[in-house]
Amino acid sequence: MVDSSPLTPAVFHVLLALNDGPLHGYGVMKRVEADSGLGMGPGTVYGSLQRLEDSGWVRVGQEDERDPRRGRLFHLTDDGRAALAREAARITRLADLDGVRALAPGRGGA
Amino acid sequence: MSGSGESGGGREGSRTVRVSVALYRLALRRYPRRLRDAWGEEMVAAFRSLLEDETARRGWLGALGAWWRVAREMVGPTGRTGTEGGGDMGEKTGQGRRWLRGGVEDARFAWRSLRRDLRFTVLLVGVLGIGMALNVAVFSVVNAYLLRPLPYPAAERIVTVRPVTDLSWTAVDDVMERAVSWDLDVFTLVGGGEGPQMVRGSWVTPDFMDVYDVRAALGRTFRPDEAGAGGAPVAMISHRLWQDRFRGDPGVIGRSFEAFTSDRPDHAESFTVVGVLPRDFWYVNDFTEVFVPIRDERALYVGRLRADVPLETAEAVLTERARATTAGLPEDFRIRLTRVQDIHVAAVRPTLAVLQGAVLLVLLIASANAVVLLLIRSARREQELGVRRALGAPRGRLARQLGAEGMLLGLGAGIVGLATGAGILELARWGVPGMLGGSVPGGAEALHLDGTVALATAVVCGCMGVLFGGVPAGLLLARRTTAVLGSGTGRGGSDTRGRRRVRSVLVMAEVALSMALLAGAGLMVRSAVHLQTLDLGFDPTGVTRGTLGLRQSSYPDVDGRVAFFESVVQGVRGLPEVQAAGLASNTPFSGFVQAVPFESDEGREEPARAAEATAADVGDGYFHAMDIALLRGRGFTPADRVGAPPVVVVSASLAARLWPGVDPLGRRLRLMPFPGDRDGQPGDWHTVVGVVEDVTRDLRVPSDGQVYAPYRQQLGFWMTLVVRRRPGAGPVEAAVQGVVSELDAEVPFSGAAELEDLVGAARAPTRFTAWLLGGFASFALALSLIGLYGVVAYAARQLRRDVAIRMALGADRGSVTGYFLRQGLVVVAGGLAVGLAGGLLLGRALAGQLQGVAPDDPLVHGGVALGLLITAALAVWIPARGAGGVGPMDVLRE
Repeated sequence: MVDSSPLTPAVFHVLLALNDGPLHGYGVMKRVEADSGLGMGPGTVYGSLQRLEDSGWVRVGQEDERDPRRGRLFHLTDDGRAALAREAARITRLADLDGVRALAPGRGGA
Repeated sequence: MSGSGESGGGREGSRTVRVSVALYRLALRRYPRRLRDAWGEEMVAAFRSLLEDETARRGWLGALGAWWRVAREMVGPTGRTGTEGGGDMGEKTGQGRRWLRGGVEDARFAWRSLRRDLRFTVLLVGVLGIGMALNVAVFSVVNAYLLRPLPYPAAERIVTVRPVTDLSWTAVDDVMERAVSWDLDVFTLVGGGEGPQMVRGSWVTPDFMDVYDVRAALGRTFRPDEAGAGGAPVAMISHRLWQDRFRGDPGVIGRSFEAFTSDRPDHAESFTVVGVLPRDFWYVNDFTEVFVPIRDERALYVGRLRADVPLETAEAVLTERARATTAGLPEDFRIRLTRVQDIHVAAVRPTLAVLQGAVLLVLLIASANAVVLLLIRSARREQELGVRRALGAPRGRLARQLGAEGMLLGLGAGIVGLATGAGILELARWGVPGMLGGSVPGGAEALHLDGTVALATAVVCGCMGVLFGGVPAGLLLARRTTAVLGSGTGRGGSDTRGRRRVRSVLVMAEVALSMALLAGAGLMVRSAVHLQTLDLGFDPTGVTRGTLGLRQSSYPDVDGRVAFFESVVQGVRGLPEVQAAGLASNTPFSGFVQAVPFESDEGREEPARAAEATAADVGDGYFHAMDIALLRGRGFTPADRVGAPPVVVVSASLAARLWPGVDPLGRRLRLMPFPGDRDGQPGDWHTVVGVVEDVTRDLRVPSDGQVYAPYRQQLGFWMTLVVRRRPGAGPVEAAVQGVVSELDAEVPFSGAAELEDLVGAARAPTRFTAWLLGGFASFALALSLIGLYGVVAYAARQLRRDVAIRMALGADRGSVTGYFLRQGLVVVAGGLAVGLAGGLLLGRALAGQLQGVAPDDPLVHGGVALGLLITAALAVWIPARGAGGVGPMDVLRE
């Protein structure tokens, strides 16, 4: 059911955050904020993770041993990694369009 | 935010976090059930982490930011989280989101509707905003004084130990993790090219540093090995002393100073400065300028309980141990532990409770007023609502829009309130401690808005919003559908009985609450006036008081001390700006009342309190310098010395109590040992030689009279010098110090203060409360008069047609006016009756703070009722009279 239609920014950033290794929900929140400045609330984070788990892109693991109070860790599955790669490719393709380059200041005449 | 709150911030944060997390759990219900069931706890944990991190980073702004995220994802479009096409979040999400989206639309619509009625909205938000601002400001003060823990580590476990026994602080470590002993002392600093200076100092145990969280702004605190018998002569000094005596020398660490102390009274000892305290180091700076490590083991004063030991257990253990150490303790001997927090709070709690209660009442009145106005407005909009209903808008939807307007109004009031309240706080910050008569825990900087205040404001705003939206919406929902449209025709809006009744009840409540507030304010004003005009028994104007302390080593016998004090008084009297001067062991308003039990020659063993009076040893110029009237007999003379028959002068009320109806001159009294003092012996019999006017020594503690003895017969090492200046003369402190230094270069004239200022400071809290309550009550009165006027005027407008018809049929103007007047006065009368009861209740609650006026003072309650009746009648009469002025044809033509 998953095709190459664009991911929402929230989902994309959550996947990207998990790409470097498993994180708990709050870790995802912090990581997304650091990556993109997107200040997500707990509902958005867990809502996204729930959907990603339903889609088979994310797997729920054990509690974080170093900090069990923060809850279970989320792992990226192979499907999820593939979806992230597809989205990354799509974004790169978009970024390479001449019209897009012209719009982005500083990257114009590359 | 502020540096001083660093350690307090964490604890304060944790409380805010606790409340926030509890609220978040409630908010969690708005999320889809599936999400909540699967991840609820972890979402709470994530929210908690977010809140803690953001609060640590940006204080209460951070907390607000965390909530903003939650609010946005529950309402806004960022809530769209799913992968495209993966819409399996369950029905509830879609519904919930539609509901929320609808909420945003409602809010937009409400905003437009409020903007259309801009003047109405501004008035409403302004009035509510003032009410909120008062609450924000007062609650911030309450929060800083009463709710926030004292700025010490684990402050809630720090207790004082009373009574003081021989129990050593080293023997209790199974119940106390830290035990503090200190000994207050006076340090006379000498040498170093400066004049002699007497400062307060403390000998402290090493644990003192930890329990009171003593930090050094410069240098270091003490090391544990510096205390004890062979302790090091090191000292920490206050910022003030550093600035004054050491001229702010940045290289002060390692410098030393000479001081006489009670430990080595005979020679000045040299102390090396190892640290300087921070400038606004709360509390510790208030009572000490010099810290030195304690040398011998002393009694336990203060301790920090172990976390696992309850207060009661610690009391029992300490009592047991004290019994084991000290033989012959009475049967009922108990050691009591009191939290330092409670002690600190005890002095300011009553005033703050009154103020907080008053501003809450003001807010309640403002809210009632707002609801009244909103109801009038919603009646006016009946037609608009009717049309929209007819065009197919569901009734629930209309009600929700009214609700949204209410919520927006509440929000607006909250924003105005927070901003204005912060401004008030900023302006009032430095005055607050003086007005309350107690310093802010953590220093004046600690008076600021924090997460707790923001949260409380948000909650109150939410409640107001629900009220403002809910009441009009509820009344709308309760009506029949057809009635909404049907009644709206032809008259430009209509009213319903439900709304009329709710409005009347609300206005009645406003009148009642205002009346209660006015009565409370009236009582406080009478107290303040009483204190202001109270005959103190002496004249504080133009009197400077200050202390002279002699060292035992230099003045071992009474004659030497008398000679010195005599010379000082003579020298000071010789100064051109001085009118009179005298000496006493203590003076009124010095924060110290010496109460001693004694018995008269009537032989009655009176219980302690009844026979207690304040005592002072005074010189012969004292009564004259203080302007205390001598009513009978004589004052003291130089002949009243050691060896001569012991004499006393008593105050009039004491004489009347001890010897009712008898000439007190020639009668005798003697001091008795304090109750519980087993070894104490009664003093010698003293003969009464004079009677003087009673003196008020302290506004809070009623005096039972005074006994004065001649200082030549009772002379100690400390005397207070009172100096009455000639009218128009400038400060005399320096000149007096000059006289003293000429006689002995090592004796300071210290703690100089104007008696007038001391009296003023003692009167300040009552005056302050009276002013504030008066202001609040006036605001409340204005609001309820507006409400009253509005309701009658509106009713008159509504019934114009009926009035016109009746007048066309022959009714005269007087009967029409009378009709509306009666309607209004019924509301007023109800309000007054309830308000009278409320005022009496409030008076009883205030009783502890009233002086010279009874809580049920008929003048205050009657006067307020009468005043309110007159102004309220006026507020009713004006619109009622207008109603009768309608020309029938004008109305019919409309």
